[in-house]
Amino acid sequence: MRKFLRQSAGTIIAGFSNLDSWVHSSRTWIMLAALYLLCMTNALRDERAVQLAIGSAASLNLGEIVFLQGFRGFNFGLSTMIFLVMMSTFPKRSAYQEYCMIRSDRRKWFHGQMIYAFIMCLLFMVLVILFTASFSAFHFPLSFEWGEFILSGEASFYLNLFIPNDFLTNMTPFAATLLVCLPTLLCWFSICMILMLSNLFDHPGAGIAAVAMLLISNYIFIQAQIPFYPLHYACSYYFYESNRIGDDTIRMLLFHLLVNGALYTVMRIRLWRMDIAAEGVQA
Amino acid sequence: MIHISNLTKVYKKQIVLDDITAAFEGSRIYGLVGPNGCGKTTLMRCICGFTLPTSGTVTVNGKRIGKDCDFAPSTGVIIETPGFLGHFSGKRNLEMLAAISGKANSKRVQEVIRMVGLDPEDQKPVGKYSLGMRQRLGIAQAVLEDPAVLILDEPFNGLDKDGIWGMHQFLQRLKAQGKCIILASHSENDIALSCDAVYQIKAGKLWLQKENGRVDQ
Repeated sequence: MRKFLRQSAGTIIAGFSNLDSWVHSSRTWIMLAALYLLCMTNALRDERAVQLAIGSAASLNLGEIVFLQGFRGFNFGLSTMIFLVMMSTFPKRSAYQEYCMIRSDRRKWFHGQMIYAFIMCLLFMVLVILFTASFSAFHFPLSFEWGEFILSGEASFYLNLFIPNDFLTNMTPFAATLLVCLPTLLCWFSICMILMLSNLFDHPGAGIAAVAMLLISNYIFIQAQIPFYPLHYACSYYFYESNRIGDDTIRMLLFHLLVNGALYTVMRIRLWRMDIAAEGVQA
Repeated sequence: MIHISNLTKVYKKQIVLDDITAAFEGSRIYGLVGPNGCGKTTLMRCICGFTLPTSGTVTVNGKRIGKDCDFAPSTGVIIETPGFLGHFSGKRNLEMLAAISGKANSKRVQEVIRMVGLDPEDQKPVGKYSLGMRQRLGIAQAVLEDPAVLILDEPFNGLDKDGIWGMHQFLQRLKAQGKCIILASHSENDIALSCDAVYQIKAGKLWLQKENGRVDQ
């Protein structure tokens, strides 16, 4: 047990050696500022839309406004672009990583990177929710129940959203927010896997370009009203259309499991036979 | 301790290491000399397991790299410029590395930091260290778990005159403890002062140049 805990700690430390350079990068702080402004603008947009429609934004409460933002993937295209810029150097292949590797093995190093990526996605999601809530707390009443404005279907009409009945009848806004964040969270994790794949194949720029192209093509497909969006499974706004949350959620989970399973397999095969070279030093 | 057999490494159709066979054994210091880009670092990376051979085998402490293990067991390494987490102290950096292997405790971390002439209580972040201090910390991380083999690429870089002399004495102490050390340096003086045997590497070929005063041309 002790050996297992020690090995797990080692695996996580190897992954979290990325964190030091990430936290101390000016890019991270600029992107966090941009993220706060984005969350603020998103909430403000809905506040104005409701104000224009019925004269008062007070018909929406804090729990609902956070849910509505999460339902749109927190403005999926832009928030994902910010996430992409923040994570673009992942995984950092520094001399320190080599010191970590020689004390473990390739598999543990790889798993450490995956754990780090998943925790960063969670952290980013928590930050997005906190930013949205911290701004909205001053503009919307503090309540965590569905209000009449959403239950009556008016919100769907004025905000041009289709909110499935399952959310309104079976869940609180908080539980619904957690569920609608899941597709976005898994998509961000898949993005990290794509970045890691391209990095392991020594073409880190290719992963960034591929994800950026995917985001842009997604926007084009939506604007051109082409039925299949490249990131259909990434954002609940486009995903929960059939009003069958349970089935849709399982379908979405399976999709991400398959994609990430395939990426994992390719990376494990690559990692087994690849040369490891530090790209630079951190200190 | 280290057995290299018919090692060849090809990068983008260029032969970097060409059919190298060598053995590095016992408590000795081996020097590697050669011009820039001749393959010294690639050979060291192959021994560590960071770079995998195109053909041939590397065995370290009885384990074949890439087959029995991913990286060389019981081996301390500095390859090129030492890199650390710049916003943590030297002690914190080493403690995190020690946690990965689980083979060194906090007391040992302090001991190795003192051994290389740094202060374990110094809270200054590594990012503010001079190149010489980083080099010393790099040596400290290499010897942290008391490995049997040390692979040191340019360990004298950034050290002042006293620092270089101290490093020579430190290497002799490690040798006396039974360690097998492979040392690469562009300074022939440093190699001559420390090493029991000197290997020349050029155009991917490796040969013994000098051993205990005996010179082979």
